[in-house]
Parts: sequence; C-alpha cells; structure tokens
Amino acid sequence: MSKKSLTEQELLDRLDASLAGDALTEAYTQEEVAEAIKAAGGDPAALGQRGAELAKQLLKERRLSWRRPARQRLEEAQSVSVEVNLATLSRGELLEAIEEARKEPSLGGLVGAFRKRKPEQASEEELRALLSEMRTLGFIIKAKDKRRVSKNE
Amino acid sequence: MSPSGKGPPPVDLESIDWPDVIRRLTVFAMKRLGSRGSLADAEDLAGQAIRQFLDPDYASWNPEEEPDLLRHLGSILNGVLNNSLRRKALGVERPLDTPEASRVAVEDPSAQRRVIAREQAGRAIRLLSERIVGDDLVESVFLLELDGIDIPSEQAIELDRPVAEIYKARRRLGAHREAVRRQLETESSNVKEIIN
Repeated sequence: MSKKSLTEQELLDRLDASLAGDALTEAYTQEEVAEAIKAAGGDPAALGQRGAELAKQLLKERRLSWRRPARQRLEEAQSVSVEVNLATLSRGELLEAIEEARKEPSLGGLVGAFRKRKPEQASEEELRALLSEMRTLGFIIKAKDKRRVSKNE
Repeated sequence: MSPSGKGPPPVDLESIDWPDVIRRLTVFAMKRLGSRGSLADAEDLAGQAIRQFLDPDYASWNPEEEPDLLRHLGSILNGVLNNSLRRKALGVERPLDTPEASRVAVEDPSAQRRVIAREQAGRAIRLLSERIVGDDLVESVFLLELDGIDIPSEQAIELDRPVAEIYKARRRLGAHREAVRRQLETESSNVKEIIN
C-alpha cells in the first residue's frame, strides 16, 4: 500500500491526536486522569456519575429501539386498511363486509368460531363486534407479514 | 464471532466501566481541544462520542477490527471534533498573521485561513524539533510519530525500550508540544492586539 504524503498540518494533527490518545491507555492511571480533571476545575466523581447515567439511559433506549420500527410498521399496516365507521353500516353492508373478509384464509376461522351460528343469524351489534375483531386481526397479520418481509430483505 | 457465525462477537455493554470511560474521554478531548474549548466542551464531546457509539443507527463496534474500546471511542470523538471544527471554521475570521495570508485574504478568506494554519503547523513542528534536541528518546519517538508509527507498544519494539519508558518520553514530548502551542497562541494574540 502506498503511503500518502501528509502536509505539516496533517502531521501535527496526527501527533496531537496520538499524544492525547495516551489518556485512553494504561499510560495514565485512573488517579492521574482524575487529577487532570481536577486541574481543569472539574469534579472527577461527578463527571463519572454523569457518564454512568448517560450510558444507562442510552443502553435503555438501545434495548427499546426495536419498538420504533415495529410501531412504524404497525401504523403502515393500519393505514392501508380502509377506515370505516362500523356504526354507520347497515345490516346488509355488515354482512357484505364479513363475507368479503371471509375470503381471507387467515380470518375465515374467526367467522367459523362465531358463537357457532351463521352471521346471518346474528344481531347487528354482534355483526359489528365480529367485523371489528376481524379488522384488528387483519392489522396484526399484515404488520407481522411486513416485519417478516423486511427481516428477510 | 457471533453464534450465527455472522458479524462481530456480542459485547456486554452493561459491564463497561462507564465512569472511567467518560473521564478518560473527557481528558482526551481536553487535550485535543487545547485552548479551543473548556472542560464543559470536552465533556460534551465525550458524551457525544458515547451517544454515537451506543446509537444503533451508527455502525456498531467490531472488536475484531479494533479490540480496544477506548481507542474506538477516541476515533469517534476525533470525528465529532473535526466536524465541529469544520463548522466553526466556516464563520471564523483570523488576524492576518503573515504577508502571504494578507495577500490571499483579499481574494479568498477561506484560503487565508488555510495559509495561516499551514504556516503555523510548519512553525510548530520546527519549534518542537528545536525544543527536544538533546533528549534522544523523545527525538526518536517524535520521528517515529512523524513516520506514522504512533502506537506506544510498536514504538517500544522499534526502539527496543520498555513501553513504560516510551510512555514517559511521550509525556515529555506532550509537554513540549503544549509549550509550543502556548507560544504560538501568545504570538497570535499579540498580532491581534496590534491589528485592533
């Protein structure tokens, strides 16, 4: 590998960085580091405490960092579904929406388990509850699928 | 290697001695800043380096490439510092220290800054060389540094001396460098006073 010819400024900067770097090694004991901070008017114990608290907070944020993209994916999944106010749907519209959702294999079972009755026999209130559950389940499945796809990418 | 065989091995970040890390990084930053910043600035730089190190959005530390965590954090801090100095340099005006700087300042203020910095760096190296004459070990360490051999353990091997001796020589070199820095700053502020 060819060596790049450095300017005097670059040489000096590299020398400064190198000599300063000794503070990061065993060349300086912990006591000497503390003395250097005291000489600059600082409190080594308080500084160390602030550093520990900062690291603790950042490590906590790091542990929870998976939540942010997960929440984003869930919101994306939710945004693709059509927001319908179930209260405004008539009985016919409710039955039609449920029939449509049944075509989704992952949701069909929910209808089957619906109080061992056909949707047609249910009250409007029960139909709304069923459709609401189907929508929620649909969101979760879509979010999970999205997460799986992005993981494999 | 990680259990999956991919990526760097896992590191237990919780078990790091963070108080020692921030103290050392702050002293490192103080030395890098010199008169350009305060202890609070140095602590802020150390905090930024730790923040960047623990931010999953940045490249993670690979101990196989850089086994020493503090050296890794030091290089992050250098990056943060250089970015900060670059931003500050965009708005900073300096006195016209030399005729060459005065000439180019009329045409290009940023060129003026570059000329001043280049001339000061050259002068600093010359002054430093003069100051260490007679201290053979410091001279040798200085030459190795200029040649790019900047790791104390490697310098110890090159010079066939115990690393503890090398550390002491580096401190003497650092003290001379600090004296040169102060001398140049005094000269620069004298020029500023004359101009004003």
